[in-house]
Amino acid sequence: MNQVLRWLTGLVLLPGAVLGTTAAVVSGWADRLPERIPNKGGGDRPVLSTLATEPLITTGLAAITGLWLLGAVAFFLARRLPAPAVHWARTVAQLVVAMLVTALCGALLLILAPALDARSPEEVRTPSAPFATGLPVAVLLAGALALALAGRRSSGLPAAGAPPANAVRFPLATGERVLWSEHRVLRPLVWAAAGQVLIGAIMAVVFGLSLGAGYAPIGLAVALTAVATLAISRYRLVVDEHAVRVATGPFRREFPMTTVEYATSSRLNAGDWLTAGVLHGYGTVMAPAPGPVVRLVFADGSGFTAGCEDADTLAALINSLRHRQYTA
Amino acid sequence: MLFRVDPGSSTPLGDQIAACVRSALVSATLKPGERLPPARELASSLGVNMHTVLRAYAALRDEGLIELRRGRGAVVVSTAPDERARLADAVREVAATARRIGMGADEVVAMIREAFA
Repeated sequence: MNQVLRWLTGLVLLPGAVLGTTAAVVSGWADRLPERIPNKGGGDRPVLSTLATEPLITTGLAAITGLWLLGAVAFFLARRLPAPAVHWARTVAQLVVAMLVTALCGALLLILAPALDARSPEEVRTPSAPFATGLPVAVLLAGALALALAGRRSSGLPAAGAPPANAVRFPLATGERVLWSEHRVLRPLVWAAAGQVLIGAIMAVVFGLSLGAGYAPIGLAVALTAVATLAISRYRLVVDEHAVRVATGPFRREFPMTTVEYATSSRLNAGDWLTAGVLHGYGTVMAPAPGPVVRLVFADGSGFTAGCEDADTLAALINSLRHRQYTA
Repeated sequence: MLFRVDPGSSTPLGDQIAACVRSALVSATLKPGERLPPARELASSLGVNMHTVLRAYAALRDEGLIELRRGRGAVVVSTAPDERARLADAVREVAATARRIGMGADEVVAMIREAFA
């Protein structure tokens, strides 16, 4: 499948199918829904306030469509970003659109389904637990599909010329083959995931006891978000004579060695690390924590910064590999 | 960590890979709990046969430096090569030197026996 078809599927067909199915299901339910549904209370508790069903459906579907279009606009505007950041920004736009559209459509169905065949707001039931638990799973699945459809970026970078003569190099024997491999588990994120599971479990117990068993799955949904946190808790940096590959969980970047002009090492302090995306463009920095980093400079003047435990050695190694490749 | 192999060297490629891991352990670049790259990735990047990498990993496992777990790959379990691993390195070096100066295995073994006596 070529990239255009992938983007079309991820940004247009996938959210369109979810939204279209929701609209079709909701319009099929139109005759079976009461005029008003509970806004506060409902289920096993007294109804405190209500809201009109039809405007809720219209506004809800319009808001979801608006978000979808906003995502599409962001997707098209991403072309103005520096070359290395375009694919990254489009992937994020596609991911956010897929997850938001699925979450909001699911939420709309979750609100309306218990009101089916009810004649008044008082008769509206509590949302079913399997549906409430299934929604976050569906959202995660939609996100995973959007990520898979975005695929890897073809570098799109021009071939680099001769590396500068003054670039620091690493002594390499003729014909010597090398691989730099770094793998880090980001402990704070692992602890954060454990915290999410704990908070989710506490919420499930508290909601279950105070609001009724039907609300317990909300806590489980919070616990499920730990999966996303765990997914981004692994950082990998692999460099060989072919390419520089960096990955934080499912987010991966790959730069063929032929596109790297040269590499330098520096230190990213906490402030720079926090604002790097904003100041230098999203997708141009992938460092799991403040500390030593390697900056790759490409032929078109753009750059990419990756976290590395021994940035001096790696920058010298990349320069040596580039020099050997260029002089071969 | 950095893996370096020189196909022009008389030291077998597998031994060179294992030596890289031992050296990283001695310099504390690798710590217990860290993973080594998957054998397939290492083989493809270094342009060596995957069985060569697996042989190197098996040697490191036999020395008690790493653990090979199905689905988890090679995980470091020891902080530094033990005495046995150091001896294995020294023997490898002796073998490489003997080969270079044209000595056979029997002659080297005889020399070692003499040293033991």
